Amino acid sequence: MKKKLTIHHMTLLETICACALLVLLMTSIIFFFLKTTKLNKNITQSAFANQQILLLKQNWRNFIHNTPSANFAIKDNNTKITSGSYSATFKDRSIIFITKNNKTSSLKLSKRIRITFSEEHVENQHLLIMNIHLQSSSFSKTNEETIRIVTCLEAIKNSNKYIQTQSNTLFFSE
Amino acid sequence: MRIPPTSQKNLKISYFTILEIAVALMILAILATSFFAAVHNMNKITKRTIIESRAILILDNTLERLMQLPDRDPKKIKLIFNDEFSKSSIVNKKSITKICGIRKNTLNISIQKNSKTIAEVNINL
Repeated sequence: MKKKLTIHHMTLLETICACALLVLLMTSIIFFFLKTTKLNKNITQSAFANQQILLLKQNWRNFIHNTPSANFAIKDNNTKITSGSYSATFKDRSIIFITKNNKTSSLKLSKRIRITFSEEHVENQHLLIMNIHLQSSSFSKTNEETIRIVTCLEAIKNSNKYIQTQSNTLFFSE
Repeated sequence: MRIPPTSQKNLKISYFTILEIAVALMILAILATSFFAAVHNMNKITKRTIIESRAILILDNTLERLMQLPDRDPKKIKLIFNDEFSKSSIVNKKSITKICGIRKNTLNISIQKNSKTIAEVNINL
């Protein structure tokens, strides 16, 4: 007996169910793809910003501690600090340090970073502060975070007391 | 086109059973859940790393200011640490706490997140 070849047609209900499942699947795939891409971008940006903060911290403290005079003046809408011929200026996404004999060093920064300088007198301490304004964007909003890099004018004299050990643990010993 | 009788006999169209579809959907759901959990975890780790680096910067600023002190007065050290913490960007986060205490002639200043230390400094008095 011959077996008859039949083609199965989907019913309307089956088609609707299949379409709904497909839409759900495609939406979740696109959502996860966008979320992962955004997250990846944020992680890379924050790692890059951290590296730049470390570099800025080192350069800023070296600049202040190597300046012979303690008379600092903050100018140009808090974007420039000078002491005699020494100066640090934030301009066009770069920070330019001018030190002894007009030796110039420049650091190109990310477009999300803006720098201002300020001065504080707290508890008989003269502090010079580099404020790093870091822009971070999440899914819908843009936030600005301010990170302080403090430099104490007299700190270098006692710097031999400072020993750094582990990444998260710092010891202060004789 | 005519199909030879022998092959006509063997020709069989198979459909997915409801059990097969259910198993496939279940595997898909498990994969999606684990992927979502991984992404969520990655987000959490990123935030934690950012907070840790900010906490280290607070302690670094505190140490920079401590260099100027002629003596290691615990009261002054606490004041400086509190000042630096209050001016930092992580001060408004509810899960972040600062701890300052003396233990065996050592002043311990630390920053904790959900009662877990993320950065600390031990100062010999």
